[in-house]
Amino acid sequence: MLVALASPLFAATIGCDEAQPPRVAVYPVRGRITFKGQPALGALVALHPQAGPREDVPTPRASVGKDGSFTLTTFVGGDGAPAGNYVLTVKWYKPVKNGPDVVAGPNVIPRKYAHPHTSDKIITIAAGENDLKIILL
Amino acid sequence: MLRKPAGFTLVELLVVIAIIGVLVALLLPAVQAAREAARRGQCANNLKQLGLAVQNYHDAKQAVPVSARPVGLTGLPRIAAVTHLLEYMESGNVRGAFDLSKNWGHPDNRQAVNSRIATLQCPSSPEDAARLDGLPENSPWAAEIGSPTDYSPTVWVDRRLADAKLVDATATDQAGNPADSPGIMEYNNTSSSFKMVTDGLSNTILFAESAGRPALYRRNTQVTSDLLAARVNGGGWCRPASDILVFGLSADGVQEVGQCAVNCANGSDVVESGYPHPYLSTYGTSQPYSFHSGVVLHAFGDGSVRPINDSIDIREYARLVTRAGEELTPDIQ
Repeated sequence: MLVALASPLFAATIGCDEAQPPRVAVYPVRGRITFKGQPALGALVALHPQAGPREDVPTPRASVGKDGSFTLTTFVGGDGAPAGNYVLTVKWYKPVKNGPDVVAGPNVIPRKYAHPHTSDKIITIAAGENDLKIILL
Repeated sequence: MLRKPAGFTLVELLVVIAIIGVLVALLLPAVQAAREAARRGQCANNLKQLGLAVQNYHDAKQAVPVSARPVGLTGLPRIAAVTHLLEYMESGNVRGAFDLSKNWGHPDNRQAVNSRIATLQCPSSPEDAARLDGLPENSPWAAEIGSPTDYSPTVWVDRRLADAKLVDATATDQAGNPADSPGIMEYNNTSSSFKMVTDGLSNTILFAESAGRPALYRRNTQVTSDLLAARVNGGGWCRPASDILVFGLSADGVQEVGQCAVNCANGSDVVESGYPHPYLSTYGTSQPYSFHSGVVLHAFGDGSVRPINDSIDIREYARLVTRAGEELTPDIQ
């Protein structure tokens, strides 16, 4: 029985490890976002490479937490972002009351921060720990 | 001189036992694999029944069933699309006990929504088939209402994926920003029909597996058996919030809005995010997930059931979910 349980696991480990393409190095990135002094709970932060999107690297992104803090994710939860220069975009579909329910409302952050072409927030990620401190919008 | 042995020696006996042991060890994994293959076959058959039920419903009503989640100040009830399909999959008795003028959580509907529908449960799931979901707003949450389904419709692709440039934006709002891109069984849109599926019914997903809910599973592992510590907001067949809003996950299944489309987790953790969720609000947090190795079964608009490889990228998967994305026919393997 033990053999029966172990062999698919064993097979899975060799199979997957060999199939995975090598990933680029990522470095931890954390920061905080406030909009008009309010922590932007639930906002989506994305970092678009200035050199243009890369086929093998998903956009580093994060959902903003309760106190406005966020930790960027590229491949696995909270791993960070590859080094380089990025344009930061933020969208916050701030929940609005709709009768007894709450629903995601319209984006409340000014439109220029929604698109990498118009956003003027340039972020540089370096090797090692990155702390973006507080980003005010 | 020759001495005839009276029986087997200890060494001979041990050798024979060792040989039998090796043979059994070789055979057992094969037996387990065959058993799983049989379960997957039954699972695919269940999805086929759902696909056919939608086809029959469409023949009768010229529209596909959609989940109703009325917003705003209204007394209108929330009813899942699956409720309307019950009559088309030989569960008319459960449908008969369900009062459509009342919410799924109403005490009068309790008996109906707690009824287990065998066609909605995949035998590959290790979860107890008799388990129940719960009312999301209750605190403390209790597993007391709603027999779970392992299959749910993919209702739309979350606009956050387009915002993060992880998928192509196919729908836009009035201001030209990415909006949620609808699948075949779009929420609330009672005029949704096969006519609107301009990408082609055989290229568009109708139902996906999201197995094991409301317990949270990530990468084939149950995060915890304590549903108060972690769970998915979704599971009950009667709940519109069980429908899948495709938002993708990080490769470890932890973070929302990611490149992993299927099999990284059966949803995101609503205990950690809090209810209502800061973005999804009272909507569900389920994602496509199965207990089969390497694939997730999907029912397509044409009624066919096909496995989708779990290496599929979110961009490709989103193309399969949207009904009018006007993209090139994607390759599902």
